Amino acid sequence: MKIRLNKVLPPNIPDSNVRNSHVWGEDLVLEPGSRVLVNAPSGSGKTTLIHVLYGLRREFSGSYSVNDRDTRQMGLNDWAALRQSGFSVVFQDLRLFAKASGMENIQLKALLQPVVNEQNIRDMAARLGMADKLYRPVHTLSQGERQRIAILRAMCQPFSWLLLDEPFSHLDEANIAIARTLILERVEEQGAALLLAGLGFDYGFSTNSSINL
Amino acid sequence: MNRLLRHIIWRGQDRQAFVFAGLGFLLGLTFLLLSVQLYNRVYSDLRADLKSGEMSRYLVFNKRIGSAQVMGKASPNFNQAELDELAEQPFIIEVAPFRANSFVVAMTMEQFEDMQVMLPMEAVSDNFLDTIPNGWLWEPGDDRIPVIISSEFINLYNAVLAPSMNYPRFTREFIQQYPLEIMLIGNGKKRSMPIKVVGFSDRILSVLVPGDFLDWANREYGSGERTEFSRVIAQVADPGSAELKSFLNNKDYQTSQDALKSTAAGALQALLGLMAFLGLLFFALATVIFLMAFELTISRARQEIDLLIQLGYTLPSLIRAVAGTFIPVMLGICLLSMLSLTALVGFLGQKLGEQGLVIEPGVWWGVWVAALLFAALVMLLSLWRIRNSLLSLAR
Repeated sequence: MKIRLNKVLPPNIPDSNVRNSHVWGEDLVLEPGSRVLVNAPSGSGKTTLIHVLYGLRREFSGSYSVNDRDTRQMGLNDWAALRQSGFSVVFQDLRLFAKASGMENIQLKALLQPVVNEQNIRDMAARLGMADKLYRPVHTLSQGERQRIAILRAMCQPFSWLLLDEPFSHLDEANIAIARTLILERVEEQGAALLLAGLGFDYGFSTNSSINL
Repeated sequence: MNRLLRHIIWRGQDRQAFVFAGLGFLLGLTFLLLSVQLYNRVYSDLRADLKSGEMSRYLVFNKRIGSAQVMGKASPNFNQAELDELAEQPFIIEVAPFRANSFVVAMTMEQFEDMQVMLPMEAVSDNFLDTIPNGWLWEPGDDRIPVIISSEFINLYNAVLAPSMNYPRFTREFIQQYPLEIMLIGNGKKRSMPIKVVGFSDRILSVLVPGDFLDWANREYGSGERTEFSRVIAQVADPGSAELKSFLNNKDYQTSQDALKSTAAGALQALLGLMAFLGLLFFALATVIFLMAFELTISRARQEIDLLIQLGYTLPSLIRAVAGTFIPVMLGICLLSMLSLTALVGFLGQKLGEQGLVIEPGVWWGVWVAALLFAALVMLLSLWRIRNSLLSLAR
């Protein structure tokens, strides 16, 4: 799935950030299968970029196309289809249903395009050390545990691009390594591309391009 | 998937508000269906009774006496053409004139010689009598005249005249046994004849004698048989009918106004109309409240729905999830409403039966059709509202 940003500029990006950016107001093509690290300090618009790519932010100048299709021409159902099997995302703010269990959160995503079953989910959760916490309401979990639920949710759907917005901010190095292994397995299984937005670390993902935002 | 979606959307919602909204909808629907049922059962039975004459009433008409009649420019009496015109009216089942005496009739009682009453005397076709009593026959040569008097005369005499004049009160049996005499005066002749009260009429306010006697007496003591009649009696299908009132007004005919104003059919029709109106109003309000409760639910689940859309859920799948809860609830309420109605109809049938109003048992098939139609209407309305609410969240 080829992504093209053509002079995209959301209204909330300060001019000082735009001047040094390789993304905002520039032409950028992200090829299928690539692994991209987006470097930027906090507040420079990493989450805005993820939201633009995922179709949550649609107010910007310029144009954004997916597989040469202008996203301005896309409706709710087109975006729903892209989110079901084109993009998978781990939001920085996680966006989980707080009162639902971890398993319910994951299944809500997995049931849209069933490529994993409940046992697969349990197995992946066990690898992330979440087996015994999978059926607890999310609001009772720690931030790191919630982050792992959000990662598991992103792994349980088909995708061409995996968008990760500071996905390991609450994980220790051991858990980051386990999560990275799981993520890379899924990315490689699907021949997908990966975009990691962070503070300059690629967490061992061996990214092949780095963009300063 | 739908089960999980419903779980997410409905978790933490105010169930009490739903119970009350559902209860209101149940009551509204039941009330509306009950009015449909009653309209069919009670009013159609009533209409059938009216058509078959079971609800018919007897009305006495006379012409309104105005200046034209007083000055002799118009006749105060009905002629044969006017009688024929009355008979042709669809709301009149049967009509006949009152033939009146054209001579003087004075009544005396043996024991109360100072009591002498001038009597009006009329004859009418036997079809119009409440009942035909024994002895209601007179042939030329018979010495005794059978008489039917209005029950109102006895009531008036006993209640007003007797106490004020210090006269004795009479029972009906006494009057039927008591020897009375009348004096026929006219054409220079005078004859005393005994009369016997053979019956009482609740329907006709008059002193009635057999037609054969009156015809004979008019020839002997009066001006012969009359061709014009001051009043007529008619059996009408529905005393409350607008056509009858309009006809009487146009023709300037008079009758007892009370009989026209208030009839069971008219009152019941108004009552059922009011009930249907209130039912519809109640149902509409209950539907609005019920729909608002659903919209409020969607509004409260705004964050959840927003996140579901972000995860990749389509609008139709969310509509199905919300409607998947709504429609079974709706169908359940409709079913409960029909069950309540069946019980209510049985109860009302029993109660009305005790009051002498027998209505056909069971729920009319039209009520089931109406229930389905109302349910379908509310479902379409709610799907439309749910879609709009979700669409406004998705944009």
